Amino acid sequence: MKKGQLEMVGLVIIVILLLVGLVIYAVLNKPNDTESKKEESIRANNMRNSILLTSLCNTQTKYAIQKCNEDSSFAGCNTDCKAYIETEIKNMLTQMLKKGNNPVSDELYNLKVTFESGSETKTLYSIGSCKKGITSTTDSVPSSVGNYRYSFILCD
Amino acid sequence: MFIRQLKKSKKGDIQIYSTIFVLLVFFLIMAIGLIFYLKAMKTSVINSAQEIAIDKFSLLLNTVITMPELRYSFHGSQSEALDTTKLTSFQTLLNSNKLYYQRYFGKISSIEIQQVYPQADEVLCTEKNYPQCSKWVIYSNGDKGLVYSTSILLYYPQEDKYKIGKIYIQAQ
Repeated sequence: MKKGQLEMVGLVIIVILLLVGLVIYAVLNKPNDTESKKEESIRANNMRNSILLTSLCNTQTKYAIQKCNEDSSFAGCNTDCKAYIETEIKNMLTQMLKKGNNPVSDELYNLKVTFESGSETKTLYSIGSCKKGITSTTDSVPSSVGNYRYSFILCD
Repeated sequence: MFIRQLKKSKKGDIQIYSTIFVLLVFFLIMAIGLIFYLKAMKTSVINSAQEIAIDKFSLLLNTVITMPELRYSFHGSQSEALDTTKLTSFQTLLNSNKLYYQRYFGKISSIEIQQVYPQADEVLCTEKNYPQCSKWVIYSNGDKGLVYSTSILLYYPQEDKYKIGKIYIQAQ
């Protein structure tokens, strides 16, 4: 091989090494969201649990939702139960997500309650407009007439 | 003869310059590589630190909310809520077993719990004003470190009601 050719080969090797280095850097420097997602996931699950187990309409929220859906004579809320439950859940979420005196946007969360009976699935509540975020595990509560599913998305 | 020497020295000079230039480029490439590597290392260390902090806080939170001294239980069955009567009387227990709890909480600087739903004015709970209060200082040992907070469920046995609270754990 001539000297010029050797120099060219050396240059090509350096360029290849540089490219390899850049690729390794890009891979290592990729933002690692796993842990912050893990933290948010714990938060989302805690929030969903707190909402569903809090006392509302003389029972716990998840049972209030069931009774309001199944029993037309349910008077635990002393008013239109569906509207009351929706307002109170919004209130709970606002209080939990509040930081200082800043207002809490409903884009930060979405609590969805669906009711499955046979092959039919009905969305009872969809509170908040968050679409893509950290999703909590779905809680499923069976009742005598169907199955209630509670899922929560946090966009905070 | 003089001209030949001059020509030789010029050729030598060029070779020296060429060597210096090659070395400069080599060190430049090395420096760029080192900067990239250090940046990547820094990101990796920051990620690891975040990972450790989150794991640590999750563990601390779990340590606190699973304490039988604070957790609500009914006929031996543990609930997911903290018993507010236990929270209120915990200070007395803490004062009589200070060393034990200092070792138990380890690097925790403070633990505070605040009722957030239904919304209530911030009043510190004591055995005298409970349940007309909304905040508990469970543990306080300085004011150092990061604060981690999450939602928890509070149980009020007198009313047989569950309310929402937020727990703030500060740890080094």
